[in-house]
Amino acid sequence: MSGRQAVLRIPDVKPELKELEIPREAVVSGDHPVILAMADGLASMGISVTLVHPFGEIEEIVAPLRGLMEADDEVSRKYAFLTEKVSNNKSIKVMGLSTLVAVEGWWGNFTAEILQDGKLATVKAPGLALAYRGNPKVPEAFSTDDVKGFSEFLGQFDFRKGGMKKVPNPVKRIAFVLDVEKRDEKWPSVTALRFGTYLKEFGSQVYILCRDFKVSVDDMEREYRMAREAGVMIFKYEDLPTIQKGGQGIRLTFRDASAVSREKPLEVTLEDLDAVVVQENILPAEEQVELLAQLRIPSEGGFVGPNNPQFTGRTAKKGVVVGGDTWYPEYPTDAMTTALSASQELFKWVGKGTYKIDVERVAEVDPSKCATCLTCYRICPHDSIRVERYGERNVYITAGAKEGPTWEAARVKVETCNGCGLCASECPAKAIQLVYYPDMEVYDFLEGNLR
Amino acid sequence: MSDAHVIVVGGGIAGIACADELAQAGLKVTLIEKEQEIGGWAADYCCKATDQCNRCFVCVSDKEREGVRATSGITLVTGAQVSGIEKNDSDYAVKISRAAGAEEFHGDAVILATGFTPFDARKKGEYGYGRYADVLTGLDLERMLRERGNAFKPSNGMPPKSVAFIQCVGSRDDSIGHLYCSKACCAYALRMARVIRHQNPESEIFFFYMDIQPAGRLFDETLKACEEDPNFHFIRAIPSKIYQYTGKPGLMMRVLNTETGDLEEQFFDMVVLSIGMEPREENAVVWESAGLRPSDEGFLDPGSAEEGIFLAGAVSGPKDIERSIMDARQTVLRTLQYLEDKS
Amino acid sequence: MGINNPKIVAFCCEESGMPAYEHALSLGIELPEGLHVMALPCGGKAETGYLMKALDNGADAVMIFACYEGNCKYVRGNIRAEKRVGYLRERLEKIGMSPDRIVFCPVAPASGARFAELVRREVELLREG
Repeated sequence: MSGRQAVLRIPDVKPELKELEIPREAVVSGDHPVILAMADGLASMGISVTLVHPFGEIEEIVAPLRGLMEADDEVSRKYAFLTEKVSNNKSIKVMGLSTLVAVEGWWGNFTAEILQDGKLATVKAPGLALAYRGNPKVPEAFSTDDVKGFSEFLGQFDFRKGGMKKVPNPVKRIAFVLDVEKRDEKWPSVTALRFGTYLKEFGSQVYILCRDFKVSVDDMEREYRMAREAGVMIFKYEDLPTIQKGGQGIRLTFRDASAVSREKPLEVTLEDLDAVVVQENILPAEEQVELLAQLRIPSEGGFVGPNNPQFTGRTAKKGVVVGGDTWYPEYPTDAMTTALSASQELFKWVGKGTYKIDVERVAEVDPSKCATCLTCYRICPHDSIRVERYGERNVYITAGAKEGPTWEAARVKVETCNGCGLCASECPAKAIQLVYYPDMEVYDFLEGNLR
Repeated sequence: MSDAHVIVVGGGIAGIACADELAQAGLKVTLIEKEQEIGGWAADYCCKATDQCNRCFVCVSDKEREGVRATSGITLVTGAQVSGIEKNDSDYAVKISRAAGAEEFHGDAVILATGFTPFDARKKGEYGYGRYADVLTGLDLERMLRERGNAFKPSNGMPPKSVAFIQCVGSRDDSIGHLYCSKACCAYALRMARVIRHQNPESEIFFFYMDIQPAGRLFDETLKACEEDPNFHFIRAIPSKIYQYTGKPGLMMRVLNTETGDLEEQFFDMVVLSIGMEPREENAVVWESAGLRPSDEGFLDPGSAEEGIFLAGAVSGPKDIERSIMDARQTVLRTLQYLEDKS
Repeated sequence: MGINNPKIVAFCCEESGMPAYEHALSLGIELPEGLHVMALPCGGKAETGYLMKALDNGADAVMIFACYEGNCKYVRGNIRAEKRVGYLRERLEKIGMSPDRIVFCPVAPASGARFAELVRREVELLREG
């Protein structure tokens, strides 16, 4: 295809490949159950995995899911299988009762400081996978003693398979309230429907109140119908339900939004409820916020921020992938897909033992011009620039700067540089050029074609 | 494992993503596509940015497609219809027929990414698709926006003022045997509606729906922007019929007035039917030859796939672009694990 | 005082602007001959020096075709470019030149129609003077 316009394309520079040794190792850290999927996914491809988690036993990692594992066979099957696989896999180095407290470096060369039993251990790894559980917080409108969040409610059912048959059903009449503040999360709909249907078998009356019921999950439409046929009552509301103590329990009042007329609304009152379970807002875990900041990964409100292409589980920083609530709160089976997809991403970076990178499609600093103003360090979207001692004395070196055999200057890490040129375009000293596309090409074209 | 050869059937976004990932892992890949060009349905979709990106992932699919075309490790076989898949002692044979005659490809594993068929809106005769020029499907609108840049009424080429979107056409509908949600339609319809609003500030959108289904993270932003827009009306009811009065312009629908609860007649310039996804029934023979069974919904049941055969993308159930890519990457990981164990 | 057949330099991000230009050609849309298309790895690479040099060399207008907000492969290259353009437009106005000689245009890779429309509008603007 060609038009009649003068066109300057990015020069088709033959890639100059440099082979890097990338050890086949990774650190998987977090307290979200999907760390099991990440560790297993990588370990089964022959990668030595260090699994850092805060629990005493591997089985404890799935403790938050035990309630759901009773109600949902798929969750139970997948996570029980993984727990066993990870426990029996000798090539996964499990560090229990541990937290990842500090991490620095870049792809191929991360240094992780891990606190275990009050002792600090240092682990080097070329890649990192992070998956933390968010902090669930009941929205303000419902923060009364009578109301429970999903995680607190499901926490009551933390017993091994079949346990529910041995204890009396704690809830006779229960209402789940979804979509209170966040409306784009699907896990509450799936959890309420599957767990509600399960409770129904034990004689509970189950109500689900939502703005929109999320059926855009595998099999949900069919289950939605079956649940309604089984007697689970599902209502849609527009204005938040009001909650009061009333009768022998809690009373919820709301206007049914599926009524045909706003002028003659249908008021619904649910009396004598002995549990009201509300969708929490999932706030980012503190460790996660801290680690993202240390890794200089752009974040949005504590979660992994923009990067493009916005492939699930990827971050702007090469060699770091995320899953669990660190990416986005999801239902456990969906979260596992996300985590596996993220593991595949990491496998690409650390799976081969060696890796060929193109050292042409990068930016390069001329240390003789660098004023170490840190503009490039701050602007680099992939955190690929560091200030190092390797340059010679230049005009920017002022009296009082630390003497040494070499002088400080910015340096681009060719391993992680994508050659976007942001640093080159912002460098006030014009000390950075794109190796494959220097400024002269642009100026020559402008002079040659416009004049 | 690195000299293993994987055959990917289907050159839509899921197949492309699989081929790309496998090639990056250093494997040999053959990508079989029945059309002359790879890209699948997503190659017809439009960018849904307003004054900012609305995360529809169409550009991602465009870039992936170009990337695969340029990758040397991937052999593209286009214009090829798969006629059967056979397991041999050590590998799989995928038989194809194309204009040049029949051929056979051998691979250590097979990934099926044959995707979906858009629901044929003619099956819902009451909406008059095919009879009334200004009744479009979501796919028609995608193509219009991609190729022409703006929305116009096919009958007279003018920009539409009042546009109705009818959701769940061919989804969540037991009367046609589709007891599933197509997962992508709410998101694409809302995003395209916003594009129409952005292009023409006088336009008005009437959005007829059952439940709004979010897609991906940060969908709240799109939803809130629609709700705060005074010219954007959400009506939780699906209209039953579209008709035209002779001599009168526009499309007539009987719609619910959500204030009074009365049914009223209302004219629209254009109606967009948000069609869902259907399983590709024409592939049933191939599926059977590979021992695959359909799920309750008619898509392929991943549980029925025998060792060495993997599914990716919408072949196992409706998925949007983002989910298809994710599913593809998960499938690639499982394929690599399988090949690792085998070697 | 308008300009006929203006010289326009289009700095195009390789991720969006260039594919959009090629998409426009593939749709068979005629683009003016005075358009000079220059590929850059990212809209954010369109540095002040490039834009000034283009005007200095006789361009009537400079357009930067970059990605939409939230869609930059390099996270915030497009935002840097937009900010830079805003600053330069202010400067142009201060020295008595029309700020419309530098414009920032977000496009998607498959929006050739929009690319052509933006160029057409710019040509029109310059023609009206």
